[in-house]
Amino acid sequence: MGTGAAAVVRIPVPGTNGLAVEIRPRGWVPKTGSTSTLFIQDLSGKRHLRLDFGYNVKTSSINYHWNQKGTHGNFGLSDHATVGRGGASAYQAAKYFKYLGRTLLVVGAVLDGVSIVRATNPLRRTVQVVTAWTAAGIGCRSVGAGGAWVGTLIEPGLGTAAGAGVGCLIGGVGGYFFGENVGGDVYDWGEGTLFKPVPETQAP
Amino acid sequence: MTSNLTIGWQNAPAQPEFELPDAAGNHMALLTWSPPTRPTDAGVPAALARCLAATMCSAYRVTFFSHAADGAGVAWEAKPRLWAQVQKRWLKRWPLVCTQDPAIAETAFDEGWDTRGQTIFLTSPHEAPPTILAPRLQGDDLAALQALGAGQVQALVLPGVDGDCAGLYTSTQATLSTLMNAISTECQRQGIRTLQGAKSQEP
Repeated sequence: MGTGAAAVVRIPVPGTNGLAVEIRPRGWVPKTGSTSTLFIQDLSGKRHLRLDFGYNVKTSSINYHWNQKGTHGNFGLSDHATVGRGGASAYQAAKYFKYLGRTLLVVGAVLDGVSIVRATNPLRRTVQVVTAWTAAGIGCRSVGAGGAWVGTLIEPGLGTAAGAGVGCLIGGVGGYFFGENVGGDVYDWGEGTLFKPVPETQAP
Repeated sequence: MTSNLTIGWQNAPAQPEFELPDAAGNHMALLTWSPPTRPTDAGVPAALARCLAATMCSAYRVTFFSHAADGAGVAWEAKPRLWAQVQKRWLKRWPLVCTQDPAIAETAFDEGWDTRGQTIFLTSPHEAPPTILAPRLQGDDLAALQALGAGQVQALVLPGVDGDCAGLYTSTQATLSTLMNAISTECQRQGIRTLQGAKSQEP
């Protein structure tokens, strides 16, 4: 779960009034799909900065470039601004991670499901898994947001996405193991706690 | 009023880089534009959007996808409200708006245009809104072209690559010529330079 979280989690970019890093579009796209793979967008997708590959009217050539609407004030990037090799790598990485990340999530879910079935105490394991997944999601989002903030300071756009991705990975993995431990401890505490009836007293 | 904007017309098959569909038995023209300075934001220049909306509404009923359908005044929704809500929420499709008000038609270039999710259908102003159109056509260029061939739709306007150009599709060459002339005339009236038979060049 921890490693695949970035494929589905919206990682907020602090100080941008609702923009978040994602690898799927939120706005309208053609049936054939978007030519972009990395999106920093609001919930409607109307304000967006997206890493695109295709014909660029500004350079009259086919290249990797940013397309943006309503985010220039946040990142200082104009529509059709070209990106270098780093941008091409980020484009390809996002393209494949969209599928790899979801695959990792499914594999993680199956493994956790099996672990519940095979556990000596299935209820305890279920509590551990639920808290682990919840904490992984929160960790990915919060540490990812921190990474996006730092990345924006280094290089707005690509740095934002890279920071969000690395932060999400760290936060997701860390959150998973933290949640798993906390879930186990909480279950043990609850199971080991005995509630004794106290004598009833009459109300004054 | 002069805008320093230049538009270019090419009455020719679409080149692959413009990401426009093949005319598939229909007639097609490519519309490109060059603003004096490249804007920081994606989208159709406001002067051109005004010009296109005015031209379309003067001769056609204009139907397009819009999330603002509920507040569009004379706009018309293609589907019952509940089904429209379901499509919006779960299928991520938006209702169709049908209008002859240029101010409303202009918003077509602001919604999904630069991401190539928009389609503008032009139909006769003397007939009822086209019943063959449905939200499922959103972003489906080939289905839109089939709708053009079905008869009710007289012309289609599709966004090209990054919304930086547009494809005009009609079922007859006469309709295409009339539409191109009308747009050129309106653009010139609004001070937009027009180059026939050529792509506009970046400044």
